Amino acid sequence: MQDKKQEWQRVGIYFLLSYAIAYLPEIFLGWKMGNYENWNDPKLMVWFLFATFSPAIAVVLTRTITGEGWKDSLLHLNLKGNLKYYVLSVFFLIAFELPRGITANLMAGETPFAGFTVPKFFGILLLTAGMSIPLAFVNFGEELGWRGYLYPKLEKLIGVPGTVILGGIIWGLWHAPLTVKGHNFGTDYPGFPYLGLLLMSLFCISLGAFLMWLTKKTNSVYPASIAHSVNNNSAGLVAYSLFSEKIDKDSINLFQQSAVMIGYMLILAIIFTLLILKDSKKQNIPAET
Amino acid sequence: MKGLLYKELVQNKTVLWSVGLCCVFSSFFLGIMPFLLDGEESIENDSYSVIMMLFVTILDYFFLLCLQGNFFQNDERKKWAYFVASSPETSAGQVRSKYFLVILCDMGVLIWTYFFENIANVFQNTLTGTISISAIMFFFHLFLSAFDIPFMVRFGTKGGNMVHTVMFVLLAAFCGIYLLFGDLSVFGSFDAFYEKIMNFLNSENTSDWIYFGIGLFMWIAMGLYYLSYQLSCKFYLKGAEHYAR
Repeated sequence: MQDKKQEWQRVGIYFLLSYAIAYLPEIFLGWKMGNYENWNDPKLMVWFLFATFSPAIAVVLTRTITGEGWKDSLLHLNLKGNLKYYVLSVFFLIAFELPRGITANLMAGETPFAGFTVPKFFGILLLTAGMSIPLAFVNFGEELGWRGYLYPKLEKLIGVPGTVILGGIIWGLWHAPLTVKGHNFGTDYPGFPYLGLLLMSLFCISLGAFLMWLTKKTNSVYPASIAHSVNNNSAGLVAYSLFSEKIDKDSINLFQQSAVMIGYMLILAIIFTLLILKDSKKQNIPAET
Repeated sequence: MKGLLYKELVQNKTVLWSVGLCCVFSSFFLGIMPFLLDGEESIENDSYSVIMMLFVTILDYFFLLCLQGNFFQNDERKKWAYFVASSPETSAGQVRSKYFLVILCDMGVLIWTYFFENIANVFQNTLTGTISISAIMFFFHLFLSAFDIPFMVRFGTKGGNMVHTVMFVLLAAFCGIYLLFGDLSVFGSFDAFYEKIMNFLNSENTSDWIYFGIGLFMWIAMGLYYLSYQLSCKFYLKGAEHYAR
């Protein structure tokens, strides 16, 4: 009981710190600059760095304040025996963009792979996948915080499905100052910005399940950082590379496109939550007998 | 591995500091100083800022490439080589720690250029967005190191330096030949140069193949680096026989 109370306290401190450090500069930027497309003032963009790394800063502060140390920080690479998960972290989310491209083509009355050419498709695939590996450090801060600290704590407190949902909502709403300024889905969609916030939370629930599975499988936050980096850097590029020439990429509604993608990803969330549950059961059986 | 890596970090503290200081000073003098001296009004050219940031990025990786030979030189002792080969880590562990250290430094330079770009942009009063170029340079450094390191392991740092010299001489010869016989009109002004590069990259016909080539190069660089590690493991004890001490 005392342990649970202590864990909730730690989660609370981390939650407050990660939100405060991210929200303050982002709200300030939004107030000064308006919508996200106007955020091009280099002086203010430096503040944005703090927001990006706020989960990592919050972890360092929380671990220091609570005195819990760096045990279970998941900072080891654990490459041995886990190479397949590292490969998966690079290519899985890119492969997941294929249905999005195929759906767009079918909706435009084209064949599924209408826009496919070898240099265009494989060029973007190899480039985004390759580049995302070293650039994973940009997302390392988030992964250290969410998958490396918050999710394991929540898992102990509310179980796997609860962690996927609550963790996803916390992670999704952490993006709120950006979402309401149009960063994720633009501003031109019905129910703006509330539907955007809901969609972002659903997206984070889905992606969070996969990242949580990766982290638990490897006992390391690095594969999740790479997968997160792939997700951010590819940003639909692989799907776009399949688009037929008939589809005008500039007129694509980000919200509609993301809604299609998130539809697919929710299936992913269910599959990975079940996989985590299955693994947890496997691990618990020898301990109980 | 952890222990050997710790040894590498402690042993190469001076080299690491040197790489760090070189990066900091070169970045400051090229990326910020010109803009501080001339003020925001006189340098309002975005392409100039981009080219300066590219130059800073290339220079930072160049410093690392030049100084990384010291990581190997510090361990060129027969006694140490045979000791580590007989330890549970074996010579493969020793080589692995060196390769890992080079990647760590490569990552360090990438992270530095990312943060520095954000700070320099404040003085340049523009957003240059050259981090993807820095990521490509990361792989280019891996590619060069993949050739460089096995020579250092097999023939000592002197052998490695020979490879460096040959690489730079070839590069200088290529530049020299281009300067003598090539089309120099593209270098007429920063704007013209930048515009030509951007037009080339954005043209429908070439961009797909360029992206394909760069993407493929990244994966080839990673593969070569791994092959280079395997080769260095084989060469390590043969190389140790030629150590002076």
